[in-house]
Amino acid sequence: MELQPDAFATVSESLESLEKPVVLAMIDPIRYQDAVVGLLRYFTSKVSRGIYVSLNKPYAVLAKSFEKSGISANSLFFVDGITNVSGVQEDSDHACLGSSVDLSSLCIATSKAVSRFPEDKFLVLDSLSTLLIYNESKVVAKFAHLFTEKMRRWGTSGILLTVDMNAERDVVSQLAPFCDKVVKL
Amino acid sequence: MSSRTKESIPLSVLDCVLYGAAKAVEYLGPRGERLLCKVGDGILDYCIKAGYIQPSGDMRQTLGLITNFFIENGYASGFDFKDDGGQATLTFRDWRYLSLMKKLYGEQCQLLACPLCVAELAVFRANGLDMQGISERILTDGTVVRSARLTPLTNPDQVVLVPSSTDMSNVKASWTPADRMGLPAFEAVEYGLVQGFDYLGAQAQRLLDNVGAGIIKFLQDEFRISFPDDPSKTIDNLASFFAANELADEIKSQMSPSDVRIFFKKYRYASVLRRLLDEGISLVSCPFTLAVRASLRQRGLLIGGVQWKFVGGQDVSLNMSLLRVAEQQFDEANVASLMEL
Repeated sequence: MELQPDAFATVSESLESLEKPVVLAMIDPIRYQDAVVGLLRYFTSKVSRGIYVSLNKPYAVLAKSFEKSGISANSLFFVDGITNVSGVQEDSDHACLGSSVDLSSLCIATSKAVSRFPEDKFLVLDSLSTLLIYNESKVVAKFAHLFTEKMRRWGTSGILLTVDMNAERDVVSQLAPFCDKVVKL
Repeated sequence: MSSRTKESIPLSVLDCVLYGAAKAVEYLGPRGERLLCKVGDGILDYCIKAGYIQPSGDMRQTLGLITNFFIENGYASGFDFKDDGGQATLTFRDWRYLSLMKKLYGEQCQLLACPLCVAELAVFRANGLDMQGISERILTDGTVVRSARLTPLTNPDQVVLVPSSTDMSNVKASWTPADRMGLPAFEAVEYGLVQGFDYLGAQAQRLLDNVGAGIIKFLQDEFRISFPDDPSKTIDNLASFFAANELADEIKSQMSPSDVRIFFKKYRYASVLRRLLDEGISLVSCPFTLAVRASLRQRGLLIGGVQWKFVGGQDVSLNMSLLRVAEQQFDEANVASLMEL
């Protein structure tokens, strides 16, 4: 937890002047958890509702770990694309789509989650790196491009997370022009 | 429980993984050592869970136990640690890491992937101490003496590696089936690799797949394994190599347009696999499987679902579904219209 304030400070400094920013966060693998918490701390301090699209860890695990870090999981709705479920399962705080969800279904489920909450909100996609395990970089870039476009249309701020790795640079360079800021954490 | 009586495995099977791990985190510069240190955390965890070492709050005792584990497994014949007022001297006799170290240094990679060292570094860090490399020399009998400074761990991100001036001209850099080590040490590293990166969630597989790319390079450089354009031939070549190097008594593969099926007879990764699956971890660190994944990716094929099945004792079958990159489509316009609120 020792790096949390640094991540929060970096995010605050980088994004303070931007209104409803769409951000590409390239995160050093060593500090991934702390950086995500720092980002969430920043966005939850600005906007009361967040939609967290997780392809990385089950929503129950994330909710617990965010609570432990002082972030109220009640302020988040999880779109979960990793928990193994037989069919789509929805509740007040999450929608589980199953672990082999395709990109189109993920997009539709996210837009559905956005439409559930009329208030101001932010969106987190965790992460592009996970998508790159199962998808070609061009396809991931297209998907992420659509995400950024939709965030602007919906008037939400948002963060696309990626682990800072050499193999991810291709997607990052394709996406950077569509984001307000690329933040290295 | 002593690990001395267990089976052994050729060093090449371990070293290809260590090489892959070092190359996968090399892009981080000296800080890559921090990720390798997480593998060290996983090695310790495995040794405790498997009953090879007892958990202890005493740092020196833990260091002694983990050192003893690697010595029992033939990774060195002796290891001394002297702490003289914050200046540490580490002496390795018959250190099995030397060949790999020579290869990595030769490629200007100063990261230390020695499993004994990363496990010890993990112990130091868990106790609020850091070890910063100062110098290293190799005596004529092959004994390696490393000097390091023990300092309080003030900045966990900071890593100081030994400067790259070590004369390694007398070190052999080749691997034969006679170069062996205890299977428990291999298992500890394999488990450590997964456990160390598991905090990243599913995307850790991406990092492990980069380890796979490093394994391929190691096998090409050191064993001249060929990777033909036909992916099934590549898998056959990898299966032959890893079976000859005792990862399993036999590795049979069958590839169709939709999947790859592998059968491992007396699979030496089986106990690690069982433990990982029991813990709900689906990441893979088996060197053969990582190399297969990486080679398929290089040929425009991605792995979708992965299914492991124990078919008795250490016999395991693996089914990996294939996704063809060229056939992947994402109809941006159509999906965009479906996303309208």
